[in-house]
Amino acid sequence: MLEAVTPAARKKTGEDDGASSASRPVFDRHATATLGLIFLYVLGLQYLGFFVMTLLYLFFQFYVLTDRETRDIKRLAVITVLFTPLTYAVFRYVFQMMLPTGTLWTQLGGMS
Amino acid sequence: MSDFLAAFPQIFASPFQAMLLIVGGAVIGIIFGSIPGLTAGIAIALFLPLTFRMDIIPSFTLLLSLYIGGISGGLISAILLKIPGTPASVATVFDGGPMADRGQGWKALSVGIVFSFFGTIFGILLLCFLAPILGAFSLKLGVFEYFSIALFSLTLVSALCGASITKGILACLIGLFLACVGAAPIDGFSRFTFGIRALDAGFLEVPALVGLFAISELVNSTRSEKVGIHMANFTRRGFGMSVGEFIGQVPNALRSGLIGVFIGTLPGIGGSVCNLLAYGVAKRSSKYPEKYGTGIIDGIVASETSNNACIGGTMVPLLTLGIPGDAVTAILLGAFTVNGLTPGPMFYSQNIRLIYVIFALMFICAIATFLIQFYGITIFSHLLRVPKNILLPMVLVMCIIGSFGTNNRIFDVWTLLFWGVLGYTLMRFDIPLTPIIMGFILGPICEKYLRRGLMMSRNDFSVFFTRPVSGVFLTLSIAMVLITFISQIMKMRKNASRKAAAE
Repeated sequence: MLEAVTPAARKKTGEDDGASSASRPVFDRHATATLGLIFLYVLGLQYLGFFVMTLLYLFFQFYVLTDRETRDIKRLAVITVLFTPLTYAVFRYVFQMMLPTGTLWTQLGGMS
Repeated sequence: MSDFLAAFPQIFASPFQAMLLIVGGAVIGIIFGSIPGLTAGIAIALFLPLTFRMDIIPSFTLLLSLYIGGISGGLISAILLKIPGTPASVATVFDGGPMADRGQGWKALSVGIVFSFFGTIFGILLLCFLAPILGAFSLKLGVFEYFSIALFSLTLVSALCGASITKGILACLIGLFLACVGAAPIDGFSRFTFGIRALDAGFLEVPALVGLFAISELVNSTRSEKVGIHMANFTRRGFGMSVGEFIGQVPNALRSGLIGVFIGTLPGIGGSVCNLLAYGVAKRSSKYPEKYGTGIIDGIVASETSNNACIGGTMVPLLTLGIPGDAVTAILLGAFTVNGLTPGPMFYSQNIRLIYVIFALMFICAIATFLIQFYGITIFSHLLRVPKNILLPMVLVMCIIGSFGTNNRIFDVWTLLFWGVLGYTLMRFDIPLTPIIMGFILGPICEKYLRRGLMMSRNDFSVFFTRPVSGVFLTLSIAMVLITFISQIMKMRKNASRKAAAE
């Protein structure tokens, strides 16, 4: 019974949406991983602050997005380590913007 | 004219800062425009928080140079990669791609850059001519008319954006709903805040816009689908085209420019539609339509002139009525409101000095963009080789900084993520994003004027229909929705009867 219904239903939706959107899956491995990483990044900003989280986020995001064959971990790490302090300095000191500091560091500072 | 000339000393009050903003904005704009997946709108949304600490003139210097640079930059990747850098340059691929394949890459780029400049200037000239007329007209509009015009804009956006009006209206309603979050206009009653104090002022504009457009686009371009990228080579040789070729294209450019300005003034459809329309019209009225698509400069001229002329067009409703016509001008409206300028009937007449400064700025930015793009094209083409997997995460980090920087709250970064996920999800279901942002920006304006109108008329809705200008716009809005629904029902019936006949 179920088998008889599903192919017909699938065919019907396929016709309505047009071939282009039906052929593309809504969930994609890279896109889902990216969304997950951004979520963790934002979550971590609260506690660990911009500097640490950007280092972590960028490295893992680069890792996810590069192909396994061409992946060069050293190169990705170097880009991360160069880009993060540069961005921090430009936005913090040139544009004088506030960046998340992270509650963990302020708490540690309070204890000592 | 004297107002116009008086604008220049104001812009260059601190010459070093002004030049830095113009050149920097144009360069960044061109880069954002040329990289597929990044658009002029994303660049402007990203840099809006930086302008919050500036005066209004420097902040518009930066935003306008980003806008003009961003629209002009789209042609580089359209010609060299055959991927339009922005939706506004789709039609440039048709003839620019084949020309680059034949080794005429430099000619194609040069034609594109020159006519982009031509289009921008043409658009600004028409803007300078149209704005005072509409500005004088806007003084006669009252609360009722404003509500109707805003509602009409929303209907037009829903109808014209994307393939299906149902999805357009759905998107617009989502935007209107999200605009309701926070304190209501006039009485300040809290709506949909779920007791979260941080939501009392509603969603902030910057994280919402950046999330909806940039985050969704970035996540979308990380998808595993592989597209083979082949970059055409080119060598610079002189000016790229002869004087005769340039003069031969002038009628085409003027026609395409007019199309661009006209489409630009309509709310909701901007550069992404007008380049295709101008290409189509140029092809139909040409003596040799069969050559279009094989690599002739006429196609590039039509596409690039119209999309840049569109810039002037989209500024018309923004500067005269304070009503934005597309996503980019919606962000520019945000820059006005941050500086304490509110849209309304007096917008043009009260801010006439600033509006002349904006005209002058647009001319300066157009010239700067032209020079930078023409002489720096080799550098920009190298930037296209920067791998996306390195570039996109970096842009994302900047989106986070921008959202946090607006108000220094982590909460706004969550807003960014929420709108990003929303935008990405809706994008996957082919729901256009522009009506969402228009609903979000125009919704509160609409509501404010509706409630003020009802206070004046003592809760009598009929006044909205009996005032002539308001009535016309409301009737047009209703008619447009009705016509589309009826035609869709007719189409469904037709399909059903065809199916029945086939069986």
